Amino acid sequence: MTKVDRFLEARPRRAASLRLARRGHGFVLADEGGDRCEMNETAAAVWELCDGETTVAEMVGAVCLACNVDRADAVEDLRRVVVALASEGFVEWRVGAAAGSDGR
Amino acid sequence: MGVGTLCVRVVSPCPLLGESLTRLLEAQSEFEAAWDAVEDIEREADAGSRPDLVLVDAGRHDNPPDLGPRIQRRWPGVVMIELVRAGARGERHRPVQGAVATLGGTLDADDLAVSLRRIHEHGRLRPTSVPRRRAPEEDDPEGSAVARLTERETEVLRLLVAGHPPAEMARVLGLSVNTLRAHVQNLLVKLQVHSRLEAAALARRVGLGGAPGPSAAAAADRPDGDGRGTAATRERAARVLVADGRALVRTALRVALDAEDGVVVVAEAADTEEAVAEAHRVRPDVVLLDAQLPPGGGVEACALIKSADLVTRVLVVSEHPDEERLLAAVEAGGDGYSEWSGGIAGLSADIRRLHAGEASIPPGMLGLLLRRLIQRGREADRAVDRFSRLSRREREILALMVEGMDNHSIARALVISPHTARTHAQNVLSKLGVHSRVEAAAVAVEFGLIERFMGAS
Repeated sequence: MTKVDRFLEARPRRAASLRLARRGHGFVLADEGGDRCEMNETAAAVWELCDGETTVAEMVGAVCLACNVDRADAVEDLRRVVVALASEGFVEWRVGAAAGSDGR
Repeated sequence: MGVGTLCVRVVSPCPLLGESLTRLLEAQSEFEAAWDAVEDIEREADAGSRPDLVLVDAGRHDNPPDLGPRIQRRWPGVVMIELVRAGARGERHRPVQGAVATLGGTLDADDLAVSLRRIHEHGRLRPTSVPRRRAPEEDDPEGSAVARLTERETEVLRLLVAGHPPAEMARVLGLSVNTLRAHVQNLLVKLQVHSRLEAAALARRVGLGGAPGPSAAAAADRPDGDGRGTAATRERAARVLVADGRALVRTALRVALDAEDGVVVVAEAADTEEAVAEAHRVRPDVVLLDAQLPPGGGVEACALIKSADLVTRVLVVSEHPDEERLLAAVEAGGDGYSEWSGGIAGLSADIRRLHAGEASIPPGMLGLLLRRLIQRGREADRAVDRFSRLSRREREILALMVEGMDNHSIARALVISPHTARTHAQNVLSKLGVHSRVEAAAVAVEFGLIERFMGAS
């Protein structure tokens, strides 16, 4: 299995302590300590899809249809967004497993 | 002739309709126009002059029932006219109490100007007086009238035919706006017409301004013509086909969009059939489809256009946020979805976005759309999984169910007994997890199961 395949099978899950709120034309992720991150609508939509059940492959398919972009571009865009969210601890990875089961 | 400028207020909750109608009226020298949202009627101290007429968008189910009295409180005694959609005498039409006339959805821009003038003059619209059309006369009075124009007036008329706004015409001709207006007034007098649109229509009839049809198309296609902007600007402009069942709205959108940067309307269509034909004929960059386009709606037209061998982007425009329609438009291959609430600026931005190769989803709807698409994808996966459990014979039975056959017809078609056909049909329902033959057929059609799998064992 390639890195891309593993990424596509991942089921990222958003951190339970964070909530998404609309702020002006954009969005912010916030927790009890206050605002943590400003987001545009696309990143906010991806964050909301990170429910621990939806695979990145499913997100890619939907983005291709909704935004009329090539699959390769959609994979790259999602990789950038999800990796950025994960690096900040806003989502955690669940590779190849649905929420509630062990990741691989 | 010789009448003064009429001050018209357009009252509509819809920014796109309000703005475009206002611009359409202002494109004619005999009107001053402004748009009020319904909620604005009583809010502001009147910043402008009292209107001569109020044109109310009555084709809205969300208009308040006391809209007429509210308008009368704001401008006591003002003459009110309601504008309804074609065939909108049903539930979408909420009559405006106190309106003296109703103008229908088939009304075009020329009719509108004449009707408003006559309502103002007579206090109400007399059916015998409209629609006013120039009667055919002996000889060629229209051609003779055009021949009486000066060279400069003829140039102005050509630009009117091309649908340019006054400021752009003045710039192209190197005139001040006041001088341009004087030329326009002169040519209106010489042509014996009341409005710029009438003048443009007359010019087209006598062959001035190139081929018939929206001459903005010609302006956009001419590399060095007298169109607006530089040649480079025109090359970048999105060539747009506007498809809407309402003649007046089409014209209003054309006038309003042509005044926007990077957009030029090259054709119009009144229904799906015409939209598909015009898309083939003019090959627009962007097709603008009203969600209510007759007969089957903009999404249906979108699917037809996208299934044709055309390199064109499709934008479905809806008056109200509608998640189901948004999803359907995306699944039909649409490249964008726009709402009337965004006004002309929002619509033209969406058109430019599509022309640049991007998609256009209304703000706040992307997350919802992605979730719905993922959900649909899962449903399709489940349907395919269930279909794969069907035997070859059961798939044949399902295909015949989709064609509407009952057990006896299926038995005859497959040369089996009716009892065997019924057993197979029960197995199909069971394996697909549905409760009826209709439901089974619907699932097969919705997810394209027959086309996808027939021939596979």
